[in-house]
Amino acid sequence: MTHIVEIADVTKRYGDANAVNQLTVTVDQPGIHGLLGRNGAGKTTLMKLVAGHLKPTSGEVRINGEACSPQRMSRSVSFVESRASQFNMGASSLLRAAHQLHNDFDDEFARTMLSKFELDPKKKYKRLSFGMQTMVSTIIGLAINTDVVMLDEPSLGFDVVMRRRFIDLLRESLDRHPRIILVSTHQMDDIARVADHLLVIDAGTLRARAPMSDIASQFASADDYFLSVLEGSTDE
Amino acid sequence: MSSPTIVSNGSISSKAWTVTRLSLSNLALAWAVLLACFALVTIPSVIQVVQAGPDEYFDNSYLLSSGNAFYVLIFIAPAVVALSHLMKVMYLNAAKETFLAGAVLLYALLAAAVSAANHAFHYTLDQSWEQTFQVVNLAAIFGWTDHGVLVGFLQQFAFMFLVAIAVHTLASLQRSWVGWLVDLMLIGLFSASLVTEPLVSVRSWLSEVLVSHSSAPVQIGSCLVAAALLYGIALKVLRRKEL
Repeated sequence: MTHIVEIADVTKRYGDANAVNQLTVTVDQPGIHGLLGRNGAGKTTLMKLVAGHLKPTSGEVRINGEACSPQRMSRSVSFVESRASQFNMGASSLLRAAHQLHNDFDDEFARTMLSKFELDPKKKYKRLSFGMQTMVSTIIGLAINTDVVMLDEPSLGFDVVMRRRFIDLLRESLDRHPRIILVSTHQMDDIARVADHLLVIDAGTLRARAPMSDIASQFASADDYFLSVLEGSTDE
Repeated sequence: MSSPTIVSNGSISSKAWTVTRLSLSNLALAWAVLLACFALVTIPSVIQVVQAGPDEYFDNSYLLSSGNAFYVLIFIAPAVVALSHLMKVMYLNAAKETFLAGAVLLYALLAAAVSAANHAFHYTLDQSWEQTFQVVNLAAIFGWTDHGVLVGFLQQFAFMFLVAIAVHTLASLQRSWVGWLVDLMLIGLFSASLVTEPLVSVRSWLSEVLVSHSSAPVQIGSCLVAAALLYGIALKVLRRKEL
């Protein structure tokens, strides 16, 4: 069977340390998948492997059945890295460039989101606050409309209002184009409001995954679920 | 869900052109360095020309043509594109091949602009200043101005294009140990080619074929073939590169 995202026994080693360690997981269901983990758990490395930014030390990443690596990056994945640096142009110009680079770009969604988040379309990228810069990158990543969208710590730098709006943004984007949206975060209760599934990784290995409905029926909060996984009382 | 393979309606050339325009409008550093170099070359020349009398000629005094200051663009712009623009283009989810195609298109435009600008200076300001001083313009020294305006422009364009792709390729290697190894090897080979045969002959042959060959078509063709080879290397480096 061909999976949309298939990570098969993947290890990524930096020197003596394994950032990702013999990790195997498949993701097929459209929806918002929260990727939870402590600092240094391997969340960003895992996303970079799926995006084809990094080459696995061993194992294989496949997207829609095709092997993915720096030599063969999948066009079906978009990745918005935390603190991604964009060209120092207005958000409007960046959206236009992204539109020209992708004919499936959902320009209407992107422009609506710009105005919903009250982002000045002409203000140069470097003059935006960190949270607003992240929002511009996230809007571009979602509007590109690939089968898999990965957002690395998108809510860093967001205030409370932006965090709530961000959740609306994810849900609206998914409603327009059902696909896999993988979001890594430390803000567990935020992602719990919107996620359909949670995956927990620790020390580069997948510790647990579960539908949000199951988690909600057993735990008072996503924090509790996460801590219970780390303490070893909950397994995949 | 959308189809497994995202089919794009835009042609590669239009996407490459988008990358070219993005890069072109984000070269502030290169323009600033160009402006500084142009001022550093031109202001002393203007002072010397103004100080000289109207009927004087200084056959032992040399001025560097202001047109040569444009050459700096061919070194700075590819370094900026390779080191700083790659990730920004990747964050717009472009393909690596689109990035490189856009970069090469940019270098062709810059090489043409630099060649045109230097030729313009050679045939205008340089001629005027040559009434008073010896004016050094590398295009004339390399013999590119001996074949008329159009052929000279093409000769200079081809060489500038080659240099830009070479700088891009070298710059894109710099974030790994391979880049430093290549730098050391190139420095070693160049040093050895100053004193050791047959490297001396190889260097002389290369500089003749790529720069000062008496046949313009041979020089232009050699530069374009070398540029194509370097493009192949740059593509291979980029495809293997981790981001």
